[in-house]
Amino acid sequence: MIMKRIKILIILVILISGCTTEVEINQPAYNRKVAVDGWIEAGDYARIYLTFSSPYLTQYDSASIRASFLNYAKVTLLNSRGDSEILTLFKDATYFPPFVYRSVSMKGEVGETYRLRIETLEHVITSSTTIPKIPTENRVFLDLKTDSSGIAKAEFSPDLQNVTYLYLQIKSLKADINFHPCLPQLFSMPPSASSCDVQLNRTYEGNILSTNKVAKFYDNWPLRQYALSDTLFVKIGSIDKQSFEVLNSIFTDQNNKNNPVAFNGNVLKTNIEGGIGHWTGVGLAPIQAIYSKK
Amino acid sequence: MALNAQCLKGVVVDELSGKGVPFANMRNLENGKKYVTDSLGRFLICEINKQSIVLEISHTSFNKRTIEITAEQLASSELIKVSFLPKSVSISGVTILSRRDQSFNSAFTGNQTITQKDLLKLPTIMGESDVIRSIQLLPGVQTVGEGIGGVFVRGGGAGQNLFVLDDMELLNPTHLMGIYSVFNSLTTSSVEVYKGNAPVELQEHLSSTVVVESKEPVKKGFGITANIGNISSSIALTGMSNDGKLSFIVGVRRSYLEAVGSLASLIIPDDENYFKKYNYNFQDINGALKWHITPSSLFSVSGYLGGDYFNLNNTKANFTNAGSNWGNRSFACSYQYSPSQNNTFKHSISYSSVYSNFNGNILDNSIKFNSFLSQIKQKNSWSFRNDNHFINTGLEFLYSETIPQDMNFFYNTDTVSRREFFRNLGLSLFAGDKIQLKENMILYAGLRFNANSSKYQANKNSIPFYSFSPAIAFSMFLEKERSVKIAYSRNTQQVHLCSFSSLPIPNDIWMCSTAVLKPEISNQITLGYYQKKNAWNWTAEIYGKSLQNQLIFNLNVDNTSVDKFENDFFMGKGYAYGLDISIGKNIGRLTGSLNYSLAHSIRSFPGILEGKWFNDKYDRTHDLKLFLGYELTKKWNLSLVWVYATGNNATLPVGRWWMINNIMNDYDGINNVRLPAYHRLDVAANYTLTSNHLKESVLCFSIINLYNRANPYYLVYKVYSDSNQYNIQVKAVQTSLFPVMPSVSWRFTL
Repeated sequence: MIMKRIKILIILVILISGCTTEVEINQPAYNRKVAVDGWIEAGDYARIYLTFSSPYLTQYDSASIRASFLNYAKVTLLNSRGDSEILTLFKDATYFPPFVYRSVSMKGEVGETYRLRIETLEHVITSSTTIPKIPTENRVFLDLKTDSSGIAKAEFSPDLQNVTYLYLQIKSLKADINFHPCLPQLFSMPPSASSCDVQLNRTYEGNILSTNKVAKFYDNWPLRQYALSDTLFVKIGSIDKQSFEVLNSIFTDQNNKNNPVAFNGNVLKTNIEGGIGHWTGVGLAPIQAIYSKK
Repeated sequence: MALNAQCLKGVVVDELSGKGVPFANMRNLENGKKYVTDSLGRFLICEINKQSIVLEISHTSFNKRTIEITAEQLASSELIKVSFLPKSVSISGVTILSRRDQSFNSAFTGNQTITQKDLLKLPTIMGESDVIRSIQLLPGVQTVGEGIGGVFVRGGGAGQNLFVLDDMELLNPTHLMGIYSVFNSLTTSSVEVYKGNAPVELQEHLSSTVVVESKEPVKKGFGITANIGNISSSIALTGMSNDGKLSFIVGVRRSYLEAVGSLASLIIPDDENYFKKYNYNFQDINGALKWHITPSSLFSVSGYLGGDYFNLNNTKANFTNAGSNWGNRSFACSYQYSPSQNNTFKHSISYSSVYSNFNGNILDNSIKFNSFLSQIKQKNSWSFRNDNHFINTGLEFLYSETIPQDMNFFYNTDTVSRREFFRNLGLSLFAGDKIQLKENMILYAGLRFNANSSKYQANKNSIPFYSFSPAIAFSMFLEKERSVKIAYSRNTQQVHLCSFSSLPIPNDIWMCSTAVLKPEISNQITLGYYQKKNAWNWTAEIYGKSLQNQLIFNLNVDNTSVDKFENDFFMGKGYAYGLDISIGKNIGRLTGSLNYSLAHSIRSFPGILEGKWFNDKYDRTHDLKLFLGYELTKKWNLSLVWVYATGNNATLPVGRWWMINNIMNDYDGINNVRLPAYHRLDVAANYTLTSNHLKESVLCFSIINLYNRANPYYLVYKVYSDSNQYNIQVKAVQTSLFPVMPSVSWRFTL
């Protein structure tokens, strides 16, 4: 049995009738930082998206958004065997920012440690991550709630000796372009001989800049459920403890956006030296699909 | 009256409050002999040679009165109770009552008294006068704002105030998240406030001690006073036996918002009817019974039951049958015996509990989260008074049970249960002496010793911990009605109120002290200057306070297993300092006060930001309060309250960055953003109706937030993107609770 804490606080206060108004506040001074959104999965190339952070209340337009791109850095990937590669910049229209630094020769390997070095004229950013053992003995399935819909679930067998940290991603053929975290985004299992399962609750892919408003297949659907007619692809990946803590702090903060009842002491963590964001090694299990045989 | 050989015993009381009048002068007109009542208003007159006597009773604050004690009264067993009215000053045909000036005369800095008359003059909120609101108008007490329950005194937290009602401790002092207090103003006689420096027998919490006393009936028979308001009403029932020995007062309050929902359902469909989806009500009952067994012994019983109930059923938001309730249950009984006018023994036993429960289905997860704390106290005290000393000493036993979390939830195929249970035993010894050094100098010195032990779950071992709390205060009264005072206290608090979020909510956790979660400690020094001239008075107090062992609950967002519940807290320290200035006029048709505080409060926790100092959430540089009351005519009484305070602090991101196609936050510090300032104007008009059947009939018209200021309750950032690609705006959006709120209520006494 996994001991967890309540993540949903009693948000009694928001439900009390209150009116909302926009206000002007004095924003503290802010120096922009290099933001890293990067990962390397076992058997796949490294992908790093680089941007600059900006003051929170700045209005974004096409000029200021482009100014937040960091597409002129030298990004070097190194492993523990001493291999290194300078990553190549590619266009990626399906993602934001639409530029990705990708390796072309080095792929992720289980057990390896990968260091990242990002250099610009003003900054030198470093980070390190490992790819843990791939989680085995897991299966995904749809737990039917109606004759046409259900909740996706995954069943795992934890490691017998060590805590297992998992990163859960999903892609719906009907609604999504890319893989994205489901809810919960992360899952931890203490050492145990018993299997355990988790609901892979449906979330929106959430591309704030997407102009494609047509792909809203699940608008007005029961919460968290998927259609039986859909095909779901599930990525289950193990991550190390440091990556888990970093991603957990980021996702917890993200989950509590617009919730005034924020948790005490949830400081955003990062494993980026000299910047913010995350660099995560993922021991990725083979992608599994959930689909109707009809 | 009790006739003991040739002695006559009785008590002199204030006709308005029913409380004994200390140090009233009495003269036997038959033989010219003089007597003085004791600190409780009691008198003992001996050597009565005649069958009847005539007594003249006088006091600087009361109208002189002459009474004849007849032979029948001397022979009967009735307790002689003499009541007289506070002295009045007539100006232009309008009679204005004077007020005792507690802050000037008290040995302690920051000590003030609020009477029921003060409470009833203030603008009401939805028809209800309120004790906490009147306390929040005092200098040094924050005007925190609506939606934030609790009282914040001189940089302290909401859980650092001791509230006592008739010997009962009430841990949660508010209803409806701070809109109303738990005290029924119809049963309240007086409210005495100490702001961090208090006698050692009252020194149990860090920031303040608030002692509320219920009225004691002065007239025989029954009486009813009621207040009918917009969304709640209250009623007080009083009674006194014919022999004057037995009296009681009971107050009941209830809100009726659900009635509003039912009325609204006549014109609004149920799925659009807010009051149908969200049900709220509060109710409380409190009472005190006093039995003067003999003229020198008193037995009293008091009780309080009150709670708030909130239920919501909103399937669209995926909240079904979710509800929360919280409240207090307290009882006390005491026996007081005075073998002589100088000595009083008091023994009391009290039970206090505070609870909060949350149950329901949220997003298809079944959740139950309960929290509970109860205390049983047995207190024995002895007080002795003569011309130069007022000694109060005693000991107190404590047994408490704490269940800070009783949690059960089904979340994402997991079922989690967790229940923590602590038992505490405590012993306190206290002794204090108020010494009249010279005619114009008073020194108070006291010491309190606390010994506690705490047991966790079914463990047999308990670990003891000890603390000392000294208090010293010095007052010097100068010529031309001026005085200076200085006071130092080291306060120890055995319970913690642990908020687990950035906003205080009713479900915050009360946690007992343990050897790991040590008692909270404060050291406060206060220096004050006080002056009166004619109808005016002004005070200035400067204070500095250090805080240790401050707790914040850590919700364990990392999902790491924690072997001990006590490790789930951040423990830190703090400092607060400031200047409180007050100018007041309490005589005449126009009365009022202007109170201003300049203050600063900071905190540091090793587990948060690596121990860097940050502003306390309720650190507010400026806090200004203006109260004006005007006796327009004998029937019309007007009042106005205007408050202004620097905004609270909030933790908001200062930067943003991109991750997985979304905007993520970058933070820099805790409580790093100042919310907009809080200010509000409330006005009221009370009209006294003429009635042949009612002793009192008053219509109260009130408008809260007259100029409809949208004061911030909380603030978040919202991201707006439109159909044009690459056009994103981020705005600060605040939520406010109280728009302009008119109300009318009717208060009457049968």
